[in-house]
Formats: sequence, structure tokens, C-alpha cells
Amino acid sequence: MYFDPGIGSLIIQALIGIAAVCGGYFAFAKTKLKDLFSRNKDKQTESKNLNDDEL
Amino acid sequence: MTSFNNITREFSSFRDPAGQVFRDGQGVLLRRVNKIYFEQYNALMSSGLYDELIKFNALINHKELERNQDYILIQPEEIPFVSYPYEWSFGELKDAALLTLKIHRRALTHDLILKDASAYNIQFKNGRPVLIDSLSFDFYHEGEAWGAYGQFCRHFLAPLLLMANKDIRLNKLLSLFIDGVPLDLADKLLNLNIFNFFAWQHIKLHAKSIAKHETAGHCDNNKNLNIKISRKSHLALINSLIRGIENLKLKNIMTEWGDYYAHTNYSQDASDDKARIVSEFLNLIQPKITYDFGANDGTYSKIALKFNSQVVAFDIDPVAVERNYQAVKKLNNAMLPLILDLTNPSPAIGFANHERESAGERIRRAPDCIMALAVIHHLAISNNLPLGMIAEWLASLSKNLIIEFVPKEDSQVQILLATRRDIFPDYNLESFEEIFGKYFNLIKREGVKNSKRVMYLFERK
Repeated sequence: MYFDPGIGSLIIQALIGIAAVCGGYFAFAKTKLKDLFSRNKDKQTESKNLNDDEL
Repeated sequence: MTSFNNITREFSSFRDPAGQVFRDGQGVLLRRVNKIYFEQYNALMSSGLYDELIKFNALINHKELERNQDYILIQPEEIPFVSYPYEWSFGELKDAALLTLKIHRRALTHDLILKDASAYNIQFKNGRPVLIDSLSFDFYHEGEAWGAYGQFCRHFLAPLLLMANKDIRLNKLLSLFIDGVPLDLADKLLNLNIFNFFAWQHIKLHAKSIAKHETAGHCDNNKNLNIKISRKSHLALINSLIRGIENLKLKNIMTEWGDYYAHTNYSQDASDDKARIVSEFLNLIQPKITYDFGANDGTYSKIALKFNSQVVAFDIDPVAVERNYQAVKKLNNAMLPLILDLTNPSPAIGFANHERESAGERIRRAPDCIMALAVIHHLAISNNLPLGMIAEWLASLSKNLIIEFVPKEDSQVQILLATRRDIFPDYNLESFEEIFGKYFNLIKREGVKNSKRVMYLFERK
């Protein structure tokens, strides 16, 4: 790193990252619950993994 | 071994010790990769990341010319017109931000990261943003935080939030703060609360954390500050930034010229005739590079694309430029719309007032045709610029000029004169032709049907 990233930025990033993971789990659980009670039982949860079609 | 004696260094290429950009004696753009960066460069090329980014048109192409134990010499593809983030519309800055994040996310899959997130690492090629700094990659180490996160927030997120929530013109702050809008300033201007959670965490909390810890390095000498963030958290942060920025939208705003073509005094016949004349004039010139001053939403600029010309469409109105950019994306054409005030173009900024060139220096370099349609009356009447100065300036920029004279009888000029004294005795067709005749030869002249406006094709003397 040829510039100073700043301690404050690194700290807040760690906190937001943890919150984002928790938020992601919550969203995932919510989607799964919705799928469970949804009439369209064939509906698949969209994969968030990178694929060859998008950057 | 290449001799580096007769080279011209690109002034802006000095911050990163990984490599410098320069031009050789023939003016060819080259980049020297220094020894300290060999490992990262080889990883970029051999990991598959380079090929993937090229496939998505996300990274500038380059050729490797020479390799020895001291340096690697590469020749990157040149960008036709270098532009800066304070000249971009909201949509352009947003797409540049998303590209930066997506490149970083993809780099992580190859255990690499973007080591910096400067908006100046992005340029526009064929109407799309592209990363031009091939030496911007570094190794990812497990648990490592993203060192460029703060820079990303200053260069991209803060100005985008300011444009979306406060005023579309606030990206101009990027010309005052060369390393991005300070987050405490953005926080004060945005006046954020927790109900705008995305902005609140990345700007307000971020600014508070920076203020609180800014002396931490001095006290502890950084030795005990070991901030870890798991790969999962790192990725979640990037994905949340991508989602948040994708959801940013401009409020529906009217600016003075944003909806110009819906409210002009042109009839459809006159508009079609003007387009025909522009097309005929361009056909005579066959320009390779065309700059359109006062382009508004690019209605006439895009005619030049039919002649395989590279087109840069400048306008003072950020909404008009945004509209043009959205059309460029939709139609997948190669125009570059930019925000520019002709009476106050972007100055040179940065170290020694030379790091980022002025708009004038960049414009003067290239075009073989300038279009100035429906703009002369704004320069001469709204801005009190003498016709002689306008003519001299336009002649200094390009060999060919397509210009539209808008007479005083025209309703648009009547609006300009409605609340001021007419102190423009020389603003008439005869004076215009005489004054421009001192700098240009007249090639063609044609009146626009159902209008008092006259179109001119000039060639510089």
C-alpha cells in the first residue's frame, strides 16, 4: 500500500463487514422462510456467487 | 534494453513506486513496471484475472514489449480523451464506482486485491468505464482489511451521495479535493441519520472513526493495531457497497437545460433540417475526432458517430450530460458525454498545478472538428464574450468548425435580452461573418429551414 489507509477506516470497515455478514445471514434466512411458505415451491434462491456472465 | 533518455514522463504518474507512465521519442505511451512489483504483475497475468477483466472490457489492454531483471516494459492501449471525475455525470461516476468494486471483488477470487480505489484510475473508452492502472493489484492476505476503502468512500461514495441527495453539481468538490471529498465534510453536508443506514455507516460512522483514531498511529506506533477482517466480512462489505450504490438514483430534477429539446423554439422541420446540414458538413470533413460544445443531450453529436468519429460531447448542464450518458449506454454507442463550462473549463489541479491537466490543454491536443451549435449567443450575450475572442479561441482548437449563428430575432436570444440592456451592437450576422472571417475560411453556409439561424462550416486559415 503506497498510501496510508488510516486506522479509522480499517476499524469501521471491520465493524461494517461483520454487520454485513449478519445482515446477509438474516436476508438468507428470510428468503428461505419465504420459500418454505411460498406456493411456488420450485422457486430457487438466486445464487450470489460470481459466474462467467458478469463481472 | 530500452534507453530511457529521450522520454517524456506523464506528470501524473509519480505516486506509485510500482511503475511509471511515460512517452518515448515517437510519442508512444509506455509503462515501466519496476522490480518491486514483478511478483504482483506476474500474478495478475498468470492467475487468469487479467484475461477475465479483458473479457469483460473492465481493464485496459496492454502489450508486453520487454522484460529483464530490472524492469518490464508494457504498452497500454491509449484512451482517446482523458477525463476526470469532476467532469463526469452522476451515472458515469456511479458506473466507475461499481466497476472499481466489481474488479476488486473478482480480484479476491484470485487472491488479489485492488490496492487503491482512486477515481483517476478509471477512464471511459467506447462509452464505458475501464480501469487503466494495471499495476493497481496486490496480494490478498487472509484477514487483511481493504486498505483502499477510505479512498473509495472519498472518491466515489461521498460525491455520489451528495449528488443524489443534495445537489447534482456537488461532484465539482472533487476538483477542490484531489484525494476525494473528506468524509467529515460530506457528513456535514449530507446531515445523515440512521434511517439512511447505508450512507450513515459508510460516511457518518466512518468519519467519526477517522476523527477518533487519527492519532492512534502516533501513540502506539501501529505495532499493536492489528485489525483483522475475515474474507467473508470483506466480501460482504464489498457486496453491500455494490448494492447500496446500485440503488442510488438522482431525484427527478429540472435544470435550465436538462429538458432543452422538449422546449426549444425549433419546429420538427427545422430540427430535421439542422440535422441534415450537420450531416452534410461532417461528410465533407470526415473527422476522426469531434468535440461538440454545448452538446446538451447529444442529439447532434451522435451524427458524427456515423462517420466513425470519436465523439466527446460537452455541456454545462449535468442533467443534460446525464441524459446523454444514459442514451449512450442504451444505444451502446461510443460517445463520451462530459460536463464542461466553456467560460470556466476545468483548471489544472494537483501537485505543481500539473498533476491533472486543464480541460483546455486536453481539448487543444486532438480534434479535427469542433461543433458549436446553438451556443454562440450564450457565450456572446449571456457571458459578454466578444465575438473576436470566441473566434480566436475556436480557431486555436481545431482546423474545422461547424457553428450555428443565432440572431437577435431568435426567441432564445430574446429571452436572454429580456431582462438586460442590449449592449451588443456587433452581435449580428454581418459582424459575425466578418470577425470569424479573420480566422477562418468559409467553406459552406446554409440557413436552417423555418428558422432565422444560419449554419457555417469553417476551415481555419
